[in-house]
Order: sequence, then C-alpha cells, then structure tokens
Amino acid sequence: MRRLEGRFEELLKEYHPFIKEFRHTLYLIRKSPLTLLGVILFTLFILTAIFAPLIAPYDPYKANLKEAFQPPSWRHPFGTDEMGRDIFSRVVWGARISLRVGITVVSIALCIGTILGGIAGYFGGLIDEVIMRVTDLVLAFPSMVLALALAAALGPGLNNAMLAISVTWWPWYARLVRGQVLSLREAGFVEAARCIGASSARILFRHILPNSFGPVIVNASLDFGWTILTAAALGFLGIGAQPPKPEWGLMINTGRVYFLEKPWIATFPGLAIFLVVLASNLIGDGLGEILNPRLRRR
Amino acid sequence: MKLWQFILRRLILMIPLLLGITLLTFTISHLVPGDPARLAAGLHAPPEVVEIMRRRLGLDKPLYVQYYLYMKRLIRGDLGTSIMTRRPVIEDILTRWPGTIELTTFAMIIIILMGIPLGIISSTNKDKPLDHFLRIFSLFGVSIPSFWLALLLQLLFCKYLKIFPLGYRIDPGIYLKRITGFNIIDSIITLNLKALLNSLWHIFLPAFTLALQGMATVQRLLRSNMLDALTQDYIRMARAKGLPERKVIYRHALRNSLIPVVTVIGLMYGGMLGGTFIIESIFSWQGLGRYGARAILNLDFPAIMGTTIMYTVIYAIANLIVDILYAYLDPRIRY
Amino acid sequence: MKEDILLSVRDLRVNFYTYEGVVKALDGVTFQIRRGEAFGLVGETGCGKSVTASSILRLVDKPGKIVGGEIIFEGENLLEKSEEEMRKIRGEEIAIVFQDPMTYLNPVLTIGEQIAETIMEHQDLIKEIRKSGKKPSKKMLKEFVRRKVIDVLRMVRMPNPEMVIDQYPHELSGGMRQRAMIAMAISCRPKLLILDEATTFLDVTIQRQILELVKDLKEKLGCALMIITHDMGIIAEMCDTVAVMYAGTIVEYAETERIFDNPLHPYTRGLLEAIPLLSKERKTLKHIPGTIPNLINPPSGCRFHPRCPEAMKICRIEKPKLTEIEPSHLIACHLYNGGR
Repeated sequence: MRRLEGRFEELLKEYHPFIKEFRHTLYLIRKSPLTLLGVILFTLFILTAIFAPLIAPYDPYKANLKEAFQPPSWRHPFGTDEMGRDIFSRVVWGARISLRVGITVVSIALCIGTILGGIAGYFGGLIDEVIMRVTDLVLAFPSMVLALALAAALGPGLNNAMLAISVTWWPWYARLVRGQVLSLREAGFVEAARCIGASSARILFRHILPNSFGPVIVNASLDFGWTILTAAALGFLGIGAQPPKPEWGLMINTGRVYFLEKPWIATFPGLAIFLVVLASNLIGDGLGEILNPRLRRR
Repeated sequence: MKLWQFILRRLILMIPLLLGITLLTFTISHLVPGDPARLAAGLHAPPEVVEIMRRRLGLDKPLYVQYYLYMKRLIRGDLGTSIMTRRPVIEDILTRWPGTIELTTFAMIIIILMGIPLGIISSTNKDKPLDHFLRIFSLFGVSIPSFWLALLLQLLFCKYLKIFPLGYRIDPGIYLKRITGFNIIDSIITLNLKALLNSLWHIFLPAFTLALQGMATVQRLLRSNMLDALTQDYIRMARAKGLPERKVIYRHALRNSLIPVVTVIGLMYGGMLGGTFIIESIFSWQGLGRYGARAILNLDFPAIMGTTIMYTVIYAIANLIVDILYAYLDPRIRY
Repeated sequence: MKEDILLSVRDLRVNFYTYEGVVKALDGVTFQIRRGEAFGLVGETGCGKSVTASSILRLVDKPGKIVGGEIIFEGENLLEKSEEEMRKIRGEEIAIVFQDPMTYLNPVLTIGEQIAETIMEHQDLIKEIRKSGKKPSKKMLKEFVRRKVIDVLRMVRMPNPEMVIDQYPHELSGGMRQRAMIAMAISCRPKLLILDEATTFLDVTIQRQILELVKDLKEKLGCALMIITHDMGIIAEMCDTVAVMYAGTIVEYAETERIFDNPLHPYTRGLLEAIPLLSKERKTLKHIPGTIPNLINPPSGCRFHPRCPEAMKICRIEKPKLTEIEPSHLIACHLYNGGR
C-alpha cells in the first residue's frame, strides 16, 4: 500500500507539468476576452440547436398566410416571412441544420485529409506523389466554384451540398497533416517507437498523428465557420437546402426578393450566420494563439 | 534563369494540370443524374430524336472515347450549347468574362490598397485602441456572409442614402462604344469621361462587398506577420544600425511580412471568383458569376461546366502571376 | 585620466517583467571602457552579458526595461537622451556585431543594400560629393555609396567584394556573413565596437580569422572594443581589461593579466579552472558545481553563495559591493571586502 502511494505521488509529479500547462491554457483563455466571447457565442449556438423544440415558440414549417410579412413584434420577435411562418422559430431550428453541416463537413474533410495526408507524409515516394498530385488538382479549382459545380451535378439538396463542400475541403487538411508528419517523422519518439518494433500503422496513428493535431484543431475550428458560410451560400444560390427547410442561407434567398421593403426576413438569418462564423473565428484565433509555443509565455 | 524562362516553365507545367481539370469536369458532368441526351434533345422529344442526339453527342461510345471527343471539342472551344440562352456556351462566356475580370480586379485593388495599410497600422499600434478597433473590424469582415452584407449595403446606400446604384455595370442611358468589353478600359480609350465615372460609380459597391473578406484576411495576416517579423533578429540589427523606426518597419519588417500575404492573395482570388456567383446575382452584374448562378438554378450543365472551366483557367493564370510576384519578393526563391 | 574614459556604466539595473514574475536580469552592473581599449565581458550563458550590450544601445526588448543606473558615453548619459539622439549614436558611435549572422541579416535585402543604408543614414554624402567639386545627382550618389560599400567590404577582407555586394545573405558562407556584419558595424567608423559572442557560431579556423580581422580593424580605426564571450581563451588573446559577470552582477574587474595570474573571486577561479589545458596535466576537468540561479528569486546576499566553495555566513545576508582592493582591481566578494 505504501509503495502504491509512492507511485501515485510519482505519477502526480509526472503529470504535474501537464496539469500546469492545462491551467495555464485556462488562464490564457480567461485573459483573452475575445476568445471567451467566442466560447460563449458558440455555447449559445449549440444549446439553441439542441433545445430548438423547446425554444421555438412556433412550428417552423407551419404556414399562416393571414400573418404573412409581419414586421418584428412581441408576438413574432423576428417577424414573419412571405408564408406567415415565424422567423424566430425558423432561425432557431436553422441552428440544427448549421450545426449538422459544420460537424459533418469538417469531420469528413478532416478524416479524408488526415488519413491521406498522413499516409503521403509517412510513406513518401510514389504514394506521396500520387496523393499530392490529386490534392493539387482539386486545389487548382477555386473551391467554391468546384463545390457549386459538384453540388449542381449531384442535384440540389442539403446532403449533396455537404458532400460537395467536403470534397473541396479535404485537400487543405491533407497538405497540413502531410507537412506535420514530415516534420515529425524524424522526431526522437518516432525513432524510439520504430526501434522497439512498432508497426507502421501504429507509429502513424498512435505516435505521429496525435502529435500533429495542434494546427489541425486550429484549422478545424476556423473551418467550422467557413463551411457553415459556404453551405449557406449554396443555399442562397438555390442548390443547397431546399424549401421549406429553415436553412439560414435559403431564408436569406427568399427574403432577398422583398429585402428593400421587408428587410427583417433576411436580416435575422444573416445575423445568425454572422454570429456563428464570428464565434468560430474567435475560437480559432484564440486557440491558434494559445497553442502557439512562441507566443505562449509572455 | 530568366523571368521568361520561368514563365514558360510554369506554362508548360500548366498543361498536365489543365488535363487533370478536364478529367475532373468530365467526371462531374457524368455524375449528372438523368439522361444528357434527353436533356439536350428536350424533355418532350420523341425517343428517336433522343437516340439521334445520343449518337451525335457520342454517348453510345465507351468512356475513354467520350473523353477523347470531349477534349477534341474543348480544344476547338466547343463547350456545348446553353439550355437557357440557346447559344453556344463559349459565346456566352466571351461576352461576359470582361465584367467578372473587371469586378474581381477592382476588388483586388481595394484589398491591396486597404488591407495592407490597415494591417501595418494595426501592427504598429499593437494593443492600443486603434489596433483593437481594427482587429474587431477585420473579425467582422471575415465573419460576415457576403450575400447578407450585399443586401444590407443595398438597403443602406441605395434605398436610404441613395448614393450608389442598385445594380448593373453602367446606366442603360449612357452610350459606350464596346471595344474590349471592359467598361473602364473602353471608356478610357474612347475618352468618355461620363461613362468612366458612371462605371466606377456602379462598380464600387459590388467590388467592396466582394473585397471585404479578403481585405480583412490580408489585414489580419499582415498584422500577425509584422508582429512576428518585428521580433526577428534582423530587426534588432536594423535598430542597432540607428535606422529610424519608419525604415525599420517599411524596409525591413514589411517586405518580409508581405511574402506570405502574396500567397494568400492568390488563394483569395479563388475565393473571390466563387463570391462572384453571389455578388453578381445580387447586383445584377453582367458577368460570368451571374451567368453561372442562373445556369445552376436552371440545371443548365453545359453552361455550368463552361463557367467552371473558364474560372479554373482564370484562377490558374492568377496563381501564375502570384508566383512571379513571390519570386520577385523573396530572393531565396529564384525562378 | 578622466578624459580617457569612453564609456562608463554605473550600477545598471534591468528588469524583465514576465508571466512568472520580475526577472532582475542586471542587478547593478558597473565597469568602464577606456578609449581604444579592448574590454572583455565574460560569464556563463544567461548571466546578462547580452542584456548589458543591448542596454548600452538602449535596445532592451519588451518585457525588459532599464530601471536604474547610468551609462556615460563621451561624458553624456545615454539613458537621458531622446530616442532621436540615441538613433544617431547607434551605428555611428557605437556599433554592434551579433552572434548569429544568418538571423541578424535581413534575408530579402542584398549585403550591399544593408551596408549602404547604415552609411546613408549617418553620413551626409551629398555634402561629401559637393566637396569633391561635382554636382550631386541620384546616379552619382548611388555610385558613390557603392564605392564606399566596396571599400568597407575590402576593409573586412571580403573575397570578391564587387560580387558579394549584390548577393543575398543565404548565398554567402558563415564566415563571409560574419564579415558582412562586421562591415556593417564599422562602416561609419564607430568609437566603440561591441562584439556580442560574434564568433561563437563559427568553426575554429574561421573564428581565428575573424578575431585577427577584429584586431587589425581596432588598430586601423582606433576604436574601443567590447568583447562579450563565455570563452576565457578569447579574452586572454584579445582583451586588455576584463569584467567577470555572474547572474546579473560584475564580480571581478581588472586587467586581463592580473585576472589570469591572480584571480581573486571564487567564481573567476572556478571559470579559469574549467578551461581545459593541454600543457598542464589534470586528470579530470574541473567545473563549478550547481547551475545559474533563477533570477526571479535570486539567492539572497551574494548571488554566487549557493555555489561558492568559500561561502560564509555573511554571504547569505549581505550583497557584497564592488570595491577596489588593489589599484584597478575591483572585486565584489566578502572574502576581501571584510578586510583581510
């Protein structure tokens, strides 16, 4: 028992620097009010998405032509649209769609990018050449244009739009991860793992990739906002989500026709997109600064 | 190596890239649901006509033959016929591309003329109120959806303040002889001051909307690069030489900080090309973006693919220019 | 006698305000440099040698701040000068050569551009051209500066100066880069040339060449040298007087010969015993036990006492003052101050 206690102490000591680092990270987040704002906005966004049925006062799909084009009021805080649907409820439900888009696209792009980039960087040679040429090829297109063409070819719809955006997005992660892997491949702990006879897959997935995640996380948190923005843009152009879905970009598109006379229809969904993207940028910036060892201690 | 050799090499390197691009667009056009032969023949055409159309389009042949035919047509500039305009896509593109180039170039000028100075000011006033203000401004700039911003600006400047027009490249009443298709260039060539001012007046709002995101990106990137550069040893050296702060910043820190910005500007041009679909639609701007956006709504695939290919070529050329600039700014990269 | 003093640093204090706390990097540094003299500042890494150099140029970087003392150069206190006046002194009166020529040269400017900007900043070239009876033009000025730069490059014995002038730092070898740095420093014929570990990154033969060059330049220009190093060998070879620094304070200051013949401070003795000598037979190389103290919470009293073999009670309590115990031999140690 005694010896166990001793070992526990030892373990604590071993983890002490880690705990200290973690505390320091929390301290840095608290010290940066903008990052904190980002975290708060983002939490609000997620809570809205989760509790949409409880928050929204009306059914987001239910048309009521008698109440069409109502300006914001106590009954309808964001007003109503051309079919008399409550815009506030639709914006609240739209959070679910945007959250889904952000998570889906970023995780697909991240998975494909990490695996391909990791393999390319780790094995090098012909595999690397082939993967990177494909990456270059996709990046040779302006990403939004490619996403539009793909989405159009796949047919209008939210799922196809998400797929199209993911396809244009993964090469960025592939490049990023490949660069990280290349710089880590010769690191001491990788060499050590190789010496004790670990398999390639084990080295790549257990040792290298987890250590290259810092920049990837920063990128992913910035991209979360970008993908939501892009999906909304596709919705706005009419090939993303289809009516009557309460997707924010689509809502702006329908509100656009009446915008000069009835600006509230498009204003509130736009504000929602703006705030979510802002939150994602704030968090990404904050993480970038916090995880950057050069800026960390000052 | 000489500059022209570098350009030549890059142009040669573009050939496999273009081949890859066509392969990808070819694949995409085969993803299209439904029967292209039926689409081309018209929805209500009798089956025999569809069959003739299929043979004429080469759709009955194996895929590699189809790709070969597709390439052959591409090289001849045959991008098919647009379903909505019923004209060859290439003609549609040729009449519209100057509008898009004019818009994106103007936006790029705004990005460079505003993003770079704002980035410098932000970095030299680090953590002062002005810096905080500029950082918040740039955060708004990168986060705001351009299609929403465009609408808000229209509401503010066109409906309430009435200082900018709602759309179009030029007032319909103004006569401008078309030579190049670029309104600004044409009006300068023909010494048509009225048309020039009117074009500039029309281009400002859409170009600004298109530029805002890039401007904010450049500002943010330049700020962090400058701050990074200002901690470098060669800055200490420059100060130890007794150079005035102005020279330390502009001669030593800025040039090093601009190098990564140039790369990003190339990427940003791609982003702006994507943005034209939205901005041109909202501002009724006669360009490729609006054409493409309408093609998408009408599922007009020849037009969509034509626009995509055209945009990719423009993007490739823009990146070539960026690479040349990069090599010029960074002596460590010699052509 | 007083006329002789070029630079006199008195009780210089510099703090760094960091996340962990206030680092007292310099805690009362005092020394003098005479005109045309070669002065050495020696000590372990992190003892504050480079901070001393930056303080003389008033270039201490941000969390750091000069909080006390004075730096008298040519009879004037540099700490009281305006930024603009200070700028005229940097590069023209006091010049510095840093340790790593790769990072201290700007990668995107040619060697010529980097030397020329110093010259153009500090010399009124237009006046000089007028004096030679020609009308100054832009082209003329350009040629004039170029000639000057080539002259300077020749002075530092740069091979192929006409070619090097248009080359970028990455195109030169380490030794050539350091020559370029020295050229930059001497281009305005400074009265004091500071070498901050200027040869540390070079290999031995090139180090030799650079040191020879510096010696010659000192003769030619008649400037004083301040050589900052951790290498006692360089001190022995180059310097007339030397100050030994430990944890932000000067512990001993005397003529070089005297320090080598009769080191008094226990730290100096330790430093000298740590030099490997081929001639003397010694089985193991001696070293000073312990490490450099944490300067946020420096040891009380004498900062060296935890590592000192001869520490006494008083060392823990009171900080010893730098006092002259023999003519021009100053020492900060209770072994001697207490009177022996």
